[in-house]
Amino acid sequence: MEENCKLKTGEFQNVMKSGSLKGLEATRRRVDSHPLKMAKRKQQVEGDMRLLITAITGLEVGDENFDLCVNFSKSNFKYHRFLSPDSHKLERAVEGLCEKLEVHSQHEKAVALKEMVESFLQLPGLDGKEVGKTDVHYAVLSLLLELADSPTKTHFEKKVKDIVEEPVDTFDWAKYLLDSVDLNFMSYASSDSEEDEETLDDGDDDDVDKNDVSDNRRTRGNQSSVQSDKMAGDDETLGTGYRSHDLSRVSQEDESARLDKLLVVRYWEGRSVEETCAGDHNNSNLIRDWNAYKRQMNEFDCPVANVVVTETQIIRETLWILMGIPDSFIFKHSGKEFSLNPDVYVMHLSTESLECSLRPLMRKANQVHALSTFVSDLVAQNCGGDTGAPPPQTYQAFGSCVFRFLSDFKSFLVGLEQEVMRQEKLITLDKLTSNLRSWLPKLQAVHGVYICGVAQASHHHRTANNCVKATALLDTLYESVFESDLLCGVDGEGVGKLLLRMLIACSEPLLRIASDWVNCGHLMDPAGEFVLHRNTDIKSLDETFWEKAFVSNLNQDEEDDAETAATTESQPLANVSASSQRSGTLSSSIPNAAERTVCVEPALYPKFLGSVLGKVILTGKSMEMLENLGRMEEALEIGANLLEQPQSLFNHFLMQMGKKLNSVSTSLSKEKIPETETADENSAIVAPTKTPNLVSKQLLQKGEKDTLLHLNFSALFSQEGRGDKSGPHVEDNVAASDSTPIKSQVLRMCEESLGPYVASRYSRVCSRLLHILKSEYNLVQCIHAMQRYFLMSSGEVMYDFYRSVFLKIQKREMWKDSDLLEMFLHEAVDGSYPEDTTRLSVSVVPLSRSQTEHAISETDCIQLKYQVPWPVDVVISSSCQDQYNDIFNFLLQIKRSKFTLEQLKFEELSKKLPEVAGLEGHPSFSNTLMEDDPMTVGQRLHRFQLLKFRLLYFVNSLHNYMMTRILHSTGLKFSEQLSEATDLEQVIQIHRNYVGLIHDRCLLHPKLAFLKKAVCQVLNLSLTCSSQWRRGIQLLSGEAVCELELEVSRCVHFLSSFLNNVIKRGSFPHLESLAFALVSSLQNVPQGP
Amino acid sequence: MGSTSKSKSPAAAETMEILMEISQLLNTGLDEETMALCLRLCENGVNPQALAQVIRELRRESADIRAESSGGGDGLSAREA
Repeated sequence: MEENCKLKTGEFQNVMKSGSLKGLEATRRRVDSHPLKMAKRKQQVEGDMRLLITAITGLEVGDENFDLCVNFSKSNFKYHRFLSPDSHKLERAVEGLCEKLEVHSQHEKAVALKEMVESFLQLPGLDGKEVGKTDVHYAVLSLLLELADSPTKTHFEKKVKDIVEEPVDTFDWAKYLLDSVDLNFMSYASSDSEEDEETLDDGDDDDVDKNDVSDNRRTRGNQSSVQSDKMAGDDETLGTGYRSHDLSRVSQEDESARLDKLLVVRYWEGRSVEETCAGDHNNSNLIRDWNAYKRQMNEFDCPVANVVVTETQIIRETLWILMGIPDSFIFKHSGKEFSLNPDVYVMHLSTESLECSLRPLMRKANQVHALSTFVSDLVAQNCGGDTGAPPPQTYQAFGSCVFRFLSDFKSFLVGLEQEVMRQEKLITLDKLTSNLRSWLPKLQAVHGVYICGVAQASHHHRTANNCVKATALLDTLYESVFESDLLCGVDGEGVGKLLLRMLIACSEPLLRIASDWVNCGHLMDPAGEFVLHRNTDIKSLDETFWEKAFVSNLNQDEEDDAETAATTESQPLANVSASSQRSGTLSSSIPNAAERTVCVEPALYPKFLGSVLGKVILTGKSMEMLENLGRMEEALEIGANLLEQPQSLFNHFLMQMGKKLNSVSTSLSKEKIPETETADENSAIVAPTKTPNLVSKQLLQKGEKDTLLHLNFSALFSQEGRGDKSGPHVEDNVAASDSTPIKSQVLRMCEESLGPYVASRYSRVCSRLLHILKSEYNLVQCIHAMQRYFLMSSGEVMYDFYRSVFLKIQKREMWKDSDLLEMFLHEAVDGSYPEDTTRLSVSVVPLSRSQTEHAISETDCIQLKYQVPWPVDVVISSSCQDQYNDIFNFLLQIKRSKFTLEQLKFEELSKKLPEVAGLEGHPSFSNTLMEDDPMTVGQRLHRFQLLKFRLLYFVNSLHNYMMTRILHSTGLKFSEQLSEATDLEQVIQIHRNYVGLIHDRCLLHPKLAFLKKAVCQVLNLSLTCSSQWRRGIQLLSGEAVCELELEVSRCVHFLSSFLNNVIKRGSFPHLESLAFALVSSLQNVPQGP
Repeated sequence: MGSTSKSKSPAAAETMEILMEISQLLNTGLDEETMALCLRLCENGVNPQALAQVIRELRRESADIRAESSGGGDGLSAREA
């Protein structure tokens, strides 16, 4: 039966091969419909069914349920209503399932399912057929689909098929078939070379092998076509891989040997061997001889070094440490400096000589390491010292320069290292040093600047602020450039140029701060490194704005000390006068300008900026004042818009330096800088030519014009064209080519480059401010008003005022009333200067007992006040008004004395006795008769009249001296100086000096108190004399007259002698007239009764 | 008959392997032996849907029987307690 079936199967196969499907199907039916086949099939089905039941349920034969299951299954198999599986439906179902898997983001499953289903359907062998896609295929597929249970929720992993290696048939079929017949049928080569034969033979073998493999492949192709390609590929790879494995083993050994030759010996692991490092020459093995010699000298000597290295390895590691790498084998870094590893030695040098030769390079490496550490600390903002403040921008600029220098140096070293690695040239340590000759001096210079300007400053001033640090650095660079300037003839390495570049780059922050201040009026100094900072406690409208709004960046304790030292009052007359005489010669140099405004120690301003810093400060202050006045736009350049940025001081400085240094760099700078900056210095628009025309046209349309937008577009395109917001580069402008030698006196060039810009801003801004103060705020008129009322230059006005007061005093009426005095003053002023009545006021201040010691000091309680409007009160401050009041009080004393004496009438003195009727019987009547007085009435009368005139002469001399020699002449000089003043600082100083001078010359200086006391005594005597005069001579004894005369003589004599002594020294020529008047008043003075 | 598909020719083994993979992917729950039986049944003309229905019913019934036997035993022990 089975044989028949097999035979039928063979027929079936033949029919398949013939390709007749109909015949195929008919044959199949013939075979299937055989009764025996049917019966067998039934048996098989039943048997399989029972097995299936057992497999699924676990029930065994004989079980009650088992029979039930069998019956159930049989009935279902026989009597069902299901249709035969439809291939199309099944394929659609599979596609739908794949789509469902795709929807569920299970792409791999979908692909795997599709592939497996296709593979399964292509598999032959099912249903006894050699083709795929039979009914059985679809039946099984249908079964699986029916039994599928949520395939989207299962976890599926595709199994990786193990490639089964097929045994390679090594049987020599060619030989077997050809039977040792020599047929060169493959050889078409013209030459009979052995190589060709060999290659042909090899090729033949390969071809035969491949053919054999392919034959094997074909026989299995029908059964497993899917795997054939893979297996063929595997066969090929196996076949070639088998041979390549041998080849690779051989090539690996060659590669290892080659690598061993090319790679460096791992000397850092101690793998170097002396024999490989030793040379053939006797001198190349010096170390052995040297060690032998040392052992000979000292038998206990044993060399420490045990790792041999070559000079090339040392050179490479030297280059690494010069690049800033601290970790190396040959050189050890202790945290501060490099040292040679004691374990290392070379064959041709002793360890001592090796260390000696490497010491200079190690020192340089230390310098590089220090500079690199500085740069990294700067980036990490660890340079703030103990204060923890961020580092100054000057430090950052310096760090940037150092970084650039180190990068260039590193690039050079990399080139050297590549040269060493190529081993095309012989490079020794000596040659390395000579190659580095151009760089080492520069490194030394940069490191020197770092040590002096940064490290030492931070060390000495741990709590120093950024101003001190920045100044120290700039001063160090300045000194370095100065020194290099002196050596410019021998500076072949460009050290001076490098330092100059650094100086210019490091000065950029301060110059930009100064530029913003003089152009915009804002002192923007985020790091606090500028000389001054804005004192926010002082408002812009404060009268102390000019003096106290900008304070130096000192610590508070140091500032107090500085102020105490600068404003000490223990100055002798000589110094006071000398300082007063300097008032008209205010220089723009920083020490004078800065000291007058703020106590700035000379060490706190960089020398590099010393020539312009004074004017910068004045301009900046003036700008802020103009801003407060709302007149900022008047301080801008002519034709410039408020919104436009003026050219920065730093950019201007760079351009000027470039022009001065060499003409070549000038042309380069013009190419790189936008055209408008060089073409039109007055225009502040940055590169408008580069703005696209379309944008310009659009912005110029009516209703669309927006200056700010236009500027932003211009700035945007100019930046894109320039590629750098910072404008001109230091390197572009300063010494474009290294071959150009740096010129001497470069520092003077820097000053000349900075000076004109600052000078132009200074002259424009300060003169504008002065003009506004004078023309709109009546500065000069206010000063004249002060002179009129406080210094009594308007004699007739003030006479009306003080006459009213003196009469009140004479009549012993109440006069110490502010309102009354103010009324007197306003009445006096109203006639001539009605506009001043609203500004003038009078107050009465209480006096201490010491101040009212003399009657003449009674009027010291009167205090005038002139309401000075802002900003004029910056010049005429409250302290100045106090000084004015002191002078006024003194002048009032003189005026009172003069007035009192001038009011005396002769008839008052020589009143006859009957005119004092009513005094008869008065106890003093008999005294008045002065019967016992040795002087007669006439004598007393005469002497007293003489006394009065002496006093009057003294007072008039003093008055004339004060009003003419002091007030008038000083006033003339003051007016002249005021008209010549170029900035507000000068005006303030001139005014202050003027008031101070008058104050001093009015004997109001504390040091001159004794003189004033003597003068006041005389003035007081005049009051006494006048009161005695009014009483009449009858009541005045000769003794009293003599006393008065003596007192007056004593005082005048004292004053005249003192003044004469002073004049004899030649110090104060203005005192000559007073001294002469006093001396002449002493002549013909009667001595005693 | 009870021998596994591994004793058959490599082609059959490959067929079985693919079928098992498909079965695993579709989560049919058929093991190799059952799959082989089902394959033979299909080759012998059994309708696959009927076969699938039989398998489902047999699984269900056997699961019920197992549940009854384990639940009845628990219930019995509970009643006894």
